[in-house]
Amino acid sequence: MMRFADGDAAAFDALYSRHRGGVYRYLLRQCENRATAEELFQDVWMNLVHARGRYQVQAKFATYLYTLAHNRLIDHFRRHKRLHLVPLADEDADPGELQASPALQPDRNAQSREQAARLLRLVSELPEVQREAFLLHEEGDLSLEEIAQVTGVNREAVKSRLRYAMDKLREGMKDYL
Amino acid sequence: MSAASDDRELEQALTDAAQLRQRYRAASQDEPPAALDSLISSAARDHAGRDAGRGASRFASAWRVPLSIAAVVVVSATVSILVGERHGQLPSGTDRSVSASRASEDGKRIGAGALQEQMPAAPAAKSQSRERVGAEGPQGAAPKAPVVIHQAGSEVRSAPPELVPSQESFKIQQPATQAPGPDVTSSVAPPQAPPPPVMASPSTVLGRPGSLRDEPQAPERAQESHDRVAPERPPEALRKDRSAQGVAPAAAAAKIERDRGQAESKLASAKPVWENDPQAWLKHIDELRLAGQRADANASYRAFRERYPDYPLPPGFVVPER
Repeated sequence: MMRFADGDAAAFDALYSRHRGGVYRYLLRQCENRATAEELFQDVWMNLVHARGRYQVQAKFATYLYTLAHNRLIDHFRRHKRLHLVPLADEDADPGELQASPALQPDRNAQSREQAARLLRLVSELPEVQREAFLLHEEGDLSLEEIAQVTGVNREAVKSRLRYAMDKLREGMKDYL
Repeated sequence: MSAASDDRELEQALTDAAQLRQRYRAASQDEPPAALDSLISSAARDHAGRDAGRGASRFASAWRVPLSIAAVVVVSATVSILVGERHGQLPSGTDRSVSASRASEDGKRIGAGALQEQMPAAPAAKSQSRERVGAEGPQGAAPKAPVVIHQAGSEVRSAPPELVPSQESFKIQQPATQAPGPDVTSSVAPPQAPPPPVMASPSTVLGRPGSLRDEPQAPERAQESHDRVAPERPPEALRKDRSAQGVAPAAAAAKIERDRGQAESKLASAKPVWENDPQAWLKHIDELRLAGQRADANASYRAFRERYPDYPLPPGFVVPER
């Protein structure tokens, strides 16, 4: 990021390729709308580009990036007054087709596709704070302390949220595990 | 429950959920559209390029003023040094040191005798006065003629300012002037005041010929010393000197030209052709006596006798009396 702040565009490409998927999925699972996720995704990265002159090394870059994404999500939620989660399954696209990886294509393993769809639905049904903790842990690969820094809560709260999220997911997937 | 046990419990939960997490990662493979990737990348590249140029201009603007000042100082100093060297107008301190070093070299080569060889040979320069020299200002830059000072019935001939080294030159030349004779140091005393100094007492100039005059070809070497100590400067440079001193340029130039002409004529007439020829010297003494300049004739005769104590006087030669 410091190289990019000095005008090295190649450094930005490296950062972008490393974090683009995780940030996108974090936004997508949170706002549960692909178009909105893309819009927020673009905003996050453009904010990063414009803020690079003010960037100071205070934490891991991923923490900084997911803090930008978290703040952008909060702005989005405040603006649209979203009170309840809308699961991805409610979108026009089929969840299984939407979320399944190439390795889990329907023609190869119908059970795996069903498991993936089920898991993603469970994630979307998690309470917002638990889902955020889970996504930051899984998509951003952040530690408890980093998640606490991004979300603005203490470490114990993050640990509790994460544990509850795992318990719920495991409970919902017990038929497949 | 303690925090450590909570951590262990969480780690256990995550370990137990490893298969769950693996399945989630396998299921969650969404990627942003390629169009969005290119849009963001191009925006970042544009921004980086624009700010890179701005960073360079920021650096340039931060150093523009100091670099400009430094460049002006360096160029000014270089030009002034070059102009000073070209016109022989180095700063006064540098000029003195340069003339002192040159005079020192000359003094080592020829000694102070070469300078004094010029002094007794200016009989036509009697009209000059010390007041005239003093009126020229402390620098004494313009008058280049030898000055003869009437003092207690005898004459003290001073060398032209070019022939008289500066005070610093005297200090440097002292070892060299002591070499020819022990009485040179006292006789060739450095001037104490800025006006062109009186080189020596009458006894030194005319009465001690053996101490400094015996060196052959002294006049030529003295002339060479004259060129080295104060090289002749073109009238333009002299005019610049005068204008630098606040004198009106036209009047200063005219005065410089007049003094220069006088100095050249006196120098030309000051050739001591009779000095090494006893007969010519005696003839010169006789001419002085017949011209009524008895004091000069007597002083010159005494100098002659000191130099040629046993030379027989020709018949009919009248020893001048004071």
